Amino acid sequence: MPEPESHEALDAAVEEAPAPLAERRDPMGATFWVCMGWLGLLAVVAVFAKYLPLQDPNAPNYLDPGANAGPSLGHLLGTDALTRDILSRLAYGARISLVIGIGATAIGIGIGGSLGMLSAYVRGRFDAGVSLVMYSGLAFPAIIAVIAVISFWGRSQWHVILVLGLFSVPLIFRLVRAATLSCATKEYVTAAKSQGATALRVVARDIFPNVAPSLVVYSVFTLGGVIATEGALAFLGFSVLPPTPSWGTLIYDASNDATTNLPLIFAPAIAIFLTLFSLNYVGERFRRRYEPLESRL
Amino acid sequence: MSTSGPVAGSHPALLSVGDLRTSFSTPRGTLVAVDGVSFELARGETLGVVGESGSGKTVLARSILGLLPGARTTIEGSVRFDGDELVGASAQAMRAVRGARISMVFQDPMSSLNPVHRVGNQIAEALRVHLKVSRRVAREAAIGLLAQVGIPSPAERARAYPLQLSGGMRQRVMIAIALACGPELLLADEPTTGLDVTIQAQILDLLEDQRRLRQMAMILVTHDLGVVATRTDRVMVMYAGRVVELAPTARLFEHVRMPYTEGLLGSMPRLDEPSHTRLAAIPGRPPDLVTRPAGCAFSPRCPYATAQCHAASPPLVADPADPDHLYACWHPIAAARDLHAPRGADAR
Amino acid sequence: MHAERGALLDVRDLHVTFTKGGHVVQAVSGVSFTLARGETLGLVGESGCGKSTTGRAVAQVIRPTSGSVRLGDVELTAARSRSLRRERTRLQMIFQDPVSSLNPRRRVRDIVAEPLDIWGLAKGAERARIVDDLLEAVGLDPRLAGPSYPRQFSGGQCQRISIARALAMRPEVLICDEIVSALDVSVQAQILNLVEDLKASLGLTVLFIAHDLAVVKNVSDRVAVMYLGRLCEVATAESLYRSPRHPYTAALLAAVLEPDPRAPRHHAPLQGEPPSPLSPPSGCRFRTRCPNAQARCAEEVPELRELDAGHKVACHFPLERRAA
Repeated sequence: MPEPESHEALDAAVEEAPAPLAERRDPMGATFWVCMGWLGLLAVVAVFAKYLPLQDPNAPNYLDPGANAGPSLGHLLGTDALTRDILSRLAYGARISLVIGIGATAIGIGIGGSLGMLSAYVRGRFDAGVSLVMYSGLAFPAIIAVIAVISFWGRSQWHVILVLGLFSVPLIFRLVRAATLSCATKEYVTAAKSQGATALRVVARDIFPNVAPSLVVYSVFTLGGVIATEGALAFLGFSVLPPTPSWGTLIYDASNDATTNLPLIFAPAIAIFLTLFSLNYVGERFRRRYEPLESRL
Repeated sequence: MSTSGPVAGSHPALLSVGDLRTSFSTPRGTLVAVDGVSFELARGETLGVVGESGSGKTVLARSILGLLPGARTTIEGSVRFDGDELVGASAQAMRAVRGARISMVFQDPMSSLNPVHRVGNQIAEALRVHLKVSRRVAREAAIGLLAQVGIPSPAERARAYPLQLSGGMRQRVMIAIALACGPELLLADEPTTGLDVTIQAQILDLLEDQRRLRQMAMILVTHDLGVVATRTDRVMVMYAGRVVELAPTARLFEHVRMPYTEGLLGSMPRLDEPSHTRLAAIPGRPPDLVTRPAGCAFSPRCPYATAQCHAASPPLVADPADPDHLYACWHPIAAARDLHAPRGADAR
Repeated sequence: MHAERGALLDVRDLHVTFTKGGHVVQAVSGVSFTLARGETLGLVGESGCGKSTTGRAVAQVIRPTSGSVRLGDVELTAARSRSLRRERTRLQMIFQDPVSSLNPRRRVRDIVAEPLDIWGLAKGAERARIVDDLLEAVGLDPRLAGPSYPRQFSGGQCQRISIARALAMRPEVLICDEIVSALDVSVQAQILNLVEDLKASLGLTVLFIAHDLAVVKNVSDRVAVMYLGRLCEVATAESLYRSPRHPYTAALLAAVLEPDPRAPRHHAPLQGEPPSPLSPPSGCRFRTRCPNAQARCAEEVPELRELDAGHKVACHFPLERRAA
């Protein structure tokens, strides 16, 4: 390429440096880290439950200390009506709740997310058709449908994961579709297409990286929602089969027995509350950090 | 050539701005958007305020009316309107002034008009807030105003929503709202930017006619030197929050003193020049308003800059030969320009 | 001017129609023009006239409803997806909004190298060298700019990056769609000079779309004026501005505000608003605002015909030629 003649405009512009990347950002805050701490603890307990010094959650302790015993040295939260250690049931329950939560969220994000992106990119009749199905799904009273399916199909962990996952697809579809639409109309997508990029490449390189932060945020919120829904399901008696503990099942046990076993009533409820609060708070902080990034440009 | 000048007789100035300083506190530090601006405006006069983005012209207009978000904004200095001090005035006092005595027309009518209210109602509301008239009177007055601003079938249009109107029409509605209570001063912030060239001319004519009819003073904020050239009495050029040149319009164009103004004029393509004339672009870009180096803000980009310019910031002084012409430059341009001479340097 | 024979780009009877919820909008109704190799054609008009749509239809970003776009000897409207992908790269577009033209999550050097990656044209050191050359050619320091993200740059610099990206594939035609409208005056001048320099050194052919008449005159050899989807006048820049023959062109020129206090002030030369593109006037679309309109204007659509050498007008009663 022949050298253009040197002109003032060209020379001067070469000296302008790009602004440095913003170093200072709002710190995430103490509450954020406390919540992350709780979630981290939960993850550790869920994964390493077997290696922790916990009792067997299903083992009875008929003689010592018996049923509905209050907190003691050997059983920090006491025992339930079937003389099982509450603390270890809580810990193993965390595992179940998280597995169900993450599994269902993965299905929701995987299916809802990809359909949402595809739909928004392709538009036309495909988009119209899929959107119609999804909006009908949204209008459907999910809990009732889930209960019906579980009743027919049987209570098992995998069934619960699948059903909860499928019913979280419509909302994620709608959110991801909206995020993708705002991306797909930007001119860098048009530029990529006019350079001969295939649709796959455009979606992978230009659309997905810009939609990904929203996906992370929606995943976190969905996880909270699924854990809450599983708790409700269990309370109604439609989650995993006993004796597998999940937090909702523990509340179910407490309500059934109508005892005044305070730890049995409050421990799972507090656990669910802390987990949901943490997930929502962390999700919100993520959203605030990553979404304005686009508008600040 | 220009508008009917300031009203004769030595009335004190209608608006007197003294060392106005507006700063925002941002995570990166204090951003000084307006840095010690002083000027006066006589009754019935039109002042053009010219600058590019970051010059502080919009912040200046909003500071006069106190229309900046409060928490991180600091406004210092003095803005005297007809004798009353506006800086630091109570919210109640400001509310009485805004819309009634000083009105503002904004750049983007779509975001300045409430999309869920009919335009007639929006005008009527302005009337009812300040003049305490009945609903019916306000509605009729609104229709009258729409007619005055040149909207055909005003009674019908009053029932329209902003989305149903074109950009030019919406801007006329904005002007109607601004004029509703008969203000003495109109602040027009880029009123024609974004409008088509033929509509621009109509809107500027409208502003001019109304101004003359109502004997209003007007501050016309714009980035377009073409807009100010034939429609203002005086022009004030701003750069990096400071006034760098202030002169009667004709004098400014005939004898530019400040190299920045010269640079602005030189970078505009002209219709009377042949195609492919090389534009005298100003290299670089406006400075960061948070970290302000010492010295003249324009010196990094100025072709005439000397060591003095980098070291100290020049004050705004009057030209000894022409006291109406103020500039802030250590080495003002000596020779008058010939507006119609072909641009220097090579045509391509 | 018989540019047709050696024309690099030949657009014939281009129509672009949108249907929006039952309403039919004729954005472009029968636009034809040619671009000779190395020429800059300015396309000017007010908002809603269809100039941006024309640019996008030529670049095949929007598919034209009908009409022909011929680049060299390839008919773009007839090309099917794979060959279209290939042929399109000979025409590159630069857009109005500097910020939304660049993917915020990619580094500048990857953005500029994208076309090279798509077509596998260069890898490794060769790729880096090409990117550096391109960034330098548009006035940016490749060492500083390459690893940075778009948000670290100003509007003018972002436009430079967009230009570098557009040039990566050595296109034959550059379509500039309002590329300086969103920039400050002083930055505008820098970008206009840059485009002129690049055009000269790379032998580009440019379609320059804008609404600012002075800007268009500065960069163009020939200028076409559009109103409500149709061309009104096509001529060399000089003769269009010195002696407009179409009443709309004359009104546009009269409305331009020159930075000259001694310029004569006319009151707005054109009253009223442009009609809605949903229901354009019959016959000549400008007749509702034209001071010279007569009965014939409502009945018959004026065709673009050549009045003087190279000066075409679509008007039944064109203005008189002004003396030089």
